[in-house]
Amino acid sequence: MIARPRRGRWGRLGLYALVILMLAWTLAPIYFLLITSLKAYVGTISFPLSWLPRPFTWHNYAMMFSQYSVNSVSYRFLHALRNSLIASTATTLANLIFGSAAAYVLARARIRGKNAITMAFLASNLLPTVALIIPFYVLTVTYLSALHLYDTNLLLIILYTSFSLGLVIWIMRGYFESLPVDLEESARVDGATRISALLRIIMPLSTPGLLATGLLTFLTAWDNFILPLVLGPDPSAYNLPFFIYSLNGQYLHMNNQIAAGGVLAAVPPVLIVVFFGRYIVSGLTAGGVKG
Amino acid sequence: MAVERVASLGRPKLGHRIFRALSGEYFWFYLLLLPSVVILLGVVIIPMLYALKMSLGNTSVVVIGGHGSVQSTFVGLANYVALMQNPAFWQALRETLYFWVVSIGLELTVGIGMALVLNQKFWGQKVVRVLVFIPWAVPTVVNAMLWGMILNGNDYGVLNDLLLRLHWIRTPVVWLTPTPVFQGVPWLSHSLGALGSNLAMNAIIVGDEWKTLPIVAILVLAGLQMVPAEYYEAARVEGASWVSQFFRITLPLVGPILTVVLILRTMQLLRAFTLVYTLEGYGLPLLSISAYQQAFSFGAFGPGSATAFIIGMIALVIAYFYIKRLYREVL
Repeated sequence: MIARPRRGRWGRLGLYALVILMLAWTLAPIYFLLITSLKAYVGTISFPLSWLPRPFTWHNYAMMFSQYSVNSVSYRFLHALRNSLIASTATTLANLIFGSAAAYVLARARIRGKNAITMAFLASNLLPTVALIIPFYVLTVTYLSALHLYDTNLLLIILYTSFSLGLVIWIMRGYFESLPVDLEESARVDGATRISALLRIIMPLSTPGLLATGLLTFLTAWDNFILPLVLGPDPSAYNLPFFIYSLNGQYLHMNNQIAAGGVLAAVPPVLIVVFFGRYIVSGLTAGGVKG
Repeated sequence: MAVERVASLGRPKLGHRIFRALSGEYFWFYLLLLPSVVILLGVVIIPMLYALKMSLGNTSVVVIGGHGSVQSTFVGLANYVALMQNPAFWQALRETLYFWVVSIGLELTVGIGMALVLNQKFWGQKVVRVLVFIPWAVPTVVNAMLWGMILNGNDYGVLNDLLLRLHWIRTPVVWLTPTPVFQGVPWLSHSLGALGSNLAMNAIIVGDEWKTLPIVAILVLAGLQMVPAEYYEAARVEGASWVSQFFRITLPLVGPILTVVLILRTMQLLRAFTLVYTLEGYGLPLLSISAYQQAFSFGAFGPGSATAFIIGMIALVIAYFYIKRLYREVL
């Protein structure tokens, strides 16, 4: 906290004006999304635009869960929800297990060029997805077509895993390096193997880092759009972002339905940020500053 | 520890070194490292090399019943030469750089400004810090659709609705069309246009910043909170002004955090595909959009891969500078 001399009346007024400006910029679009999701279609295309949810309806939300039949809106929504949940969770677990294992080795082992290896992982995460999507597609439909990975969630999980692995390794390596080596060595003097020292002592102490990187990975995977766009065009393989994109019809923009889908897709990540935002921030800063 | 270091000075024969590497605890080390290395090779390095191979040929892909075949005749650098001679490629490159530079510029000014405000004491500070963070959590596609509604070119677009009610404009503005900005001042309009600026681009940058300023502000805030208050007290005793306190104390100490922020943002910005594709389709050809369009809309996998490979190389060059700076700070 910056301790400054006490501000005058005008200083306080200016500060509150800035805070209110910041809140308006942040909350006005969210308010607009919420009211649009509760409007009937006519309320979204008339001028002047109503700044309250009028004509009011719950229908946009109800249709996501009712009248289930093949390729109906609810069919696509529920499949997309399931795919997003499975893919994001699986990606997170894979990233945490593989990433922290590699990070531990890169923090503790005396391997030549381990800095270079860490850099290679981090650099691989700086590659834009769009640079990789063309070879992904071609390899999937030609040489690997016998594996029938096209249009499957499994393919998305495999590819997502590579997207944040470098970041996980980088942050977790910083965490592991910040823990004193003596801790492990004393456990090993007491007869513990390196693996059990890792699982019983190092991992519990790294929980904040694991939580931060795990949630970051989950949010990244939840957000992905370009992979399903190219590799999962069948409604059964939609994820939530692609489902919302698909609501955007060729002739009609049903803004109220899109808004309802958008609110539902935003709920899990917003809850994560509200309740665990602190951990994400401390993980990023600790990992970034120390390692 | 010392014993091992002495032993390694003797440079044992290759067979011994492999044996030592695969025995004892190093076996476990390599086993733990293996999955990540396999992922790096299989999902990043091999696809990149394959993209390079496709970009060096006249490549076509035919898919029948889920099984495809790829045909590629080697043409050397022809695809790259064709790109370099194509003005559309340079326009795409300029627009991509414009997007990147303006976004980073906004984040380093407005983002740091937001962090400085959030670092003050005011009523409701804790709640405000949480609320301000929320847009970052909104998925990119949702953000795109939301700003599509706000920037809609009809009178029922939210921004147009607001400006019409305030009588600031008389007819609705079509925000998401690439018209030049500052048309009243020709020289400014032309030079900005040459740099890749247009109305749609700037509108999209605003929409993108709504989602990304929060993470910048919150991370910088975390950095500000780590600066010991005594530094500022000492500076005040010495009579340092607010401005020199900011540039001499705050900025240097928040520097490492800014590096993290820049890395995260560059990762996302070079990936800036979702927002532009969702709002504009092929209407605003950033490099990423152009690579996608050439491969998946025109079926021109050679030029598409060449563009994608160039994007990858730009990303790696930027990554190199970031990582170098990062390690200088660490070591």
